[in-house]
Amino acid sequence: MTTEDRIRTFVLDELNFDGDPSELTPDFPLIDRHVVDSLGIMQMVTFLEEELGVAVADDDVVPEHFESVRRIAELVEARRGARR
Amino acid sequence: MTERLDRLVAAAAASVPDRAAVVDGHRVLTYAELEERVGRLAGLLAGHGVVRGDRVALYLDKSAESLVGLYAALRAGAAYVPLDPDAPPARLAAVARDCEPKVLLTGAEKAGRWDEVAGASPALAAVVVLNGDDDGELPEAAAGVPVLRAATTSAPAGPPPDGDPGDLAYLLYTSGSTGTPKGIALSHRNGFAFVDWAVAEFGVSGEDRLSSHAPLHFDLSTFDVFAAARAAATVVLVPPSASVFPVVLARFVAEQAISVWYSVPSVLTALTLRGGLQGGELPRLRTVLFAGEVFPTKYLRRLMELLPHAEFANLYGPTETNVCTYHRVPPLPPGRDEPIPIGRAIAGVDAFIVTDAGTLAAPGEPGELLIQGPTVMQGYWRDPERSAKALAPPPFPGAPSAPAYRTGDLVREREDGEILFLGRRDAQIKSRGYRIELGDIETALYAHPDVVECAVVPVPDDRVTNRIKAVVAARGPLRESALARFCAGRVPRYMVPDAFEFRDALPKTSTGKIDRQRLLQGRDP
Repeated sequence: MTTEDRIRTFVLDELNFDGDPSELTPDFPLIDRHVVDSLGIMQMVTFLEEELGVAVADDDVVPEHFESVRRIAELVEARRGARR
Repeated sequence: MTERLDRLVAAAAASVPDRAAVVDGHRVLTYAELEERVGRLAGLLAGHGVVRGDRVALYLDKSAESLVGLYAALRAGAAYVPLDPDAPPARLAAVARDCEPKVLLTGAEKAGRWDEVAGASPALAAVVVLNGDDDGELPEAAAGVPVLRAATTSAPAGPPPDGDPGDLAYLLYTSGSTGTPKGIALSHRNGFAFVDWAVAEFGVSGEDRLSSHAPLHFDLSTFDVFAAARAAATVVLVPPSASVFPVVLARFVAEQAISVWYSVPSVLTALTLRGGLQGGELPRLRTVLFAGEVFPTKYLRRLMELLPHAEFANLYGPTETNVCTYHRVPPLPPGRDEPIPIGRAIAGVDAFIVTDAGTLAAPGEPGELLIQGPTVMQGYWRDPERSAKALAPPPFPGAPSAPAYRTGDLVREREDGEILFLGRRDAQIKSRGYRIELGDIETALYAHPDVVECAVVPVPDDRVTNRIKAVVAARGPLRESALARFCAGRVPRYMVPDAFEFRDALPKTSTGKIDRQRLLQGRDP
């Protein structure tokens, strides 16, 4: 599975996504639609750190990086790149 | 000052007209501007027949306009009923049928759904859109109910109608165990007694800038809104992104020079863990108040270390009583992780701990907490039976004869007189500060034709108090996502289970009831 797929699966299984799975495209607005809410953001960060193994700084946890599955995947790739 | 909430803005506008009353993003309303808008909207409400004793519902996102709407309802002599703008319209329709608003105040973002929410309310005389472009499109009128825009009308402000402190000021609907929300009826005096105490206790003054984090349908908001007006201080609305992103929240508190913060603990836990605070930031933040659930001591201690200049207090009280006890948090020694107390009764309020035998508990002995005093609600809206059960004189010999509210909370008194919260007597839980009846969620699940049996259980979580898990036996293949979606159409989002577990059947007790203890303790496979 690609990083984007793993994030998408996490959103479907663990977060407050109550639409049809086919609606969850890479650019689906996670914040505007309240899928990433105050609880979801903490779960997501824990998932990125513990399951995908990237270090997420407090300053990374901002709307720009979490507004869609695509943006979250880009954050993960960027932090992986930074580590190398 | 009379114990009424509808006089606060006028008084502040008379003494400090140019002071910022409400900050909503880049928009600032001074007290003079707020007073002017409240007066005009109150005139419009009166023009549509709103009189003392009526209800006016608020159905819009929290904004400067929603505060204008709230005060205008009060100014017109009515009670305001803040609807959860994110709740399913079907659930709000049940609320509207129950409270029968004369006018629905809404915003452009919600106006299109007004008919679903309030169309069945027989008393409805008008729908008023409080924001948006003057030439923007308005939703259609229906069944003789006009839809109009507040901004284009300039009704003159009449004087406030005569009122009594015992008049209904607001109705707050909360989760009910049978699946129907119940309306908690609070008078001007009920709200005023709490606000007046809080302003004095925490020294709120015109120099202060209060955050407003809680939505208006959540009773924490009454402090932000009314304490600010009582003290002629400024209330600053917390933008939605700051509620989600802790770094954005820290920035908001800094940039807006917030001096008094009040919210549920889970927000503060997130700020502590992910706010990027190193210690010593937010120098203007002098008072941090929290309520609604238990603040895990380890996170509270950490936040107190990060904000050494601030005072911290735990406020306690179900919506039915307003805040009724409080605890100023002393320095917390490292390694001490037991929960902090809910404290002692606020001025003018009596807290009694009553045993199952109906006697006053001895110090240290567990019992149910009963609250008596001016902050205690009038009752549940149009539900005398439930009201009579909840409000009764304390049973112990020699008790004062005024009604007390039975909180359903089990507590005990510590040696130093501080009260400790021990747990609930019933199936009510807290999650992210929201109060939830498990039966309310089960009712929603049972409405699905394929659900044969279900039980909803709390899963303790130290960041949000509880996550919600549904254990379901279904006929045929039922997908978790489908059931979650079904649920989201019936209950507010914070009540939709975080996890679903499907089983062939649920465990039973010897009497054939669903064995909740077994599900709770995870003793069964």
